[in-house]
Amino acid sequence: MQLSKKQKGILYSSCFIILALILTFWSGKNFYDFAHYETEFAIREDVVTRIEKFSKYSPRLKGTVGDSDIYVIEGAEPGPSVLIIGGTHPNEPAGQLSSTLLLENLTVERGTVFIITEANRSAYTHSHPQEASIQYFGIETPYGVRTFKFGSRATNTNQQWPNPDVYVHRTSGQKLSSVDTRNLNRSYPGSENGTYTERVAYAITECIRQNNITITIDLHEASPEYQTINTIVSHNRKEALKIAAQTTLMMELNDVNIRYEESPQNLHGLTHRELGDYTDTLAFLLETSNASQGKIRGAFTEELVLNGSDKFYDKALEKGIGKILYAPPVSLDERVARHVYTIYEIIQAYNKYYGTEQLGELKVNGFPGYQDVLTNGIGHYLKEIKK
Amino acid sequence: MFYTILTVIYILMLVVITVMVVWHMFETESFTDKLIGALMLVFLILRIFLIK
Repeated sequence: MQLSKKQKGILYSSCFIILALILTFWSGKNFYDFAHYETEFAIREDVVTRIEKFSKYSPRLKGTVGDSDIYVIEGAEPGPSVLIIGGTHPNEPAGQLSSTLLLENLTVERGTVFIITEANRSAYTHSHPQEASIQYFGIETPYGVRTFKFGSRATNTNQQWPNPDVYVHRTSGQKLSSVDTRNLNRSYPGSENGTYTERVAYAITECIRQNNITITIDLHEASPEYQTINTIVSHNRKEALKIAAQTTLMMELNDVNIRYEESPQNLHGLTHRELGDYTDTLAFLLETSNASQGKIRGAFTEELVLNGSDKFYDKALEKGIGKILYAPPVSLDERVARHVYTIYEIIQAYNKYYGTEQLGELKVNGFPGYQDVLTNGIGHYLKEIKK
Repeated sequence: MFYTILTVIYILMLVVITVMVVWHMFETESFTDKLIGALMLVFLILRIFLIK
């Protein structure tokens, strides 16, 4: 049968549309599954006192993807408290892994530990555009492989859009780049009726305020070329600076290279600035060296996330161009070991200087040592997920 | 409220563009236009359903 030119056109168009629909379904399912994948955490029912929701502090988050969990571990005796924030930026996996490891291992004798593992859950529902990043990575544990998501730095546009031409930080009026309107760590102290990201920031600020949380530690990572890596950034309150200095000293004495810097007074929206200014907490932010965020990396692979190994970084170091790096890329084990050890030393420093005051000491057990995490790997410390 | 209204307008615009793309795919005689239209459809449909 001979088809006319018009009939051929209709046939080709129909074939292309069917092909487009198949491609849409295939890619759409992939994106949909990623957005709805729920990372699992092992909750020790005999240790975790309660699980709160962000919506308790920021009611408009109720029923949204941003209604994250806050895990609370209370000691037998009241005392000081610490909030550990992981998952502010889902493309910085050491933050989530460190908070998960602590959630699954810490016990508290005196005081209270608050842990957030997914501070910006919306940012876990998509990947950062044009980075070709992996969606998941696995950690080997004695109970099998635990899967974690590698998300974006910013809130999903499905929750907040459009970006303004210039993002004006609400409380300071500081002008920032437009995409930072969806950056949780540029949105503090947040606002109950603000943008989606501001509501998430508000939940964390209110949690600190309402619970009078003594210490807040926000876990981050940055590229090896970024100046602020292997660093404790501390709010400029003298108690916080004293703790940061003591922590740095103890870590250096134990051969873990680290430095500290004071939170810049004119850089707004970040935890180490706003949480210290708007609440009574002693605010710290920790950074490690993450090659997967680097600008000279090659292909984005699971190997890059887990081991920090990349042939372009290796070549840069080999050729001496590596001098531009503030620290060489390291494995996820090292970055988590560093975060966990820093948190331990911050608590020790607090107890050393302020443990004799009215609140007394914060007594927390179960921190694995820096060398132990390096030797055994993170997976050794992750618990079995019980269905 | 602003976000909701804006999203509805945005999706309506996308639907209109998608219909026009499909219409053009059947109207045009250019093979390249049909192919480009099909590729555009993938992104347009994913946006209409706010999947990506």
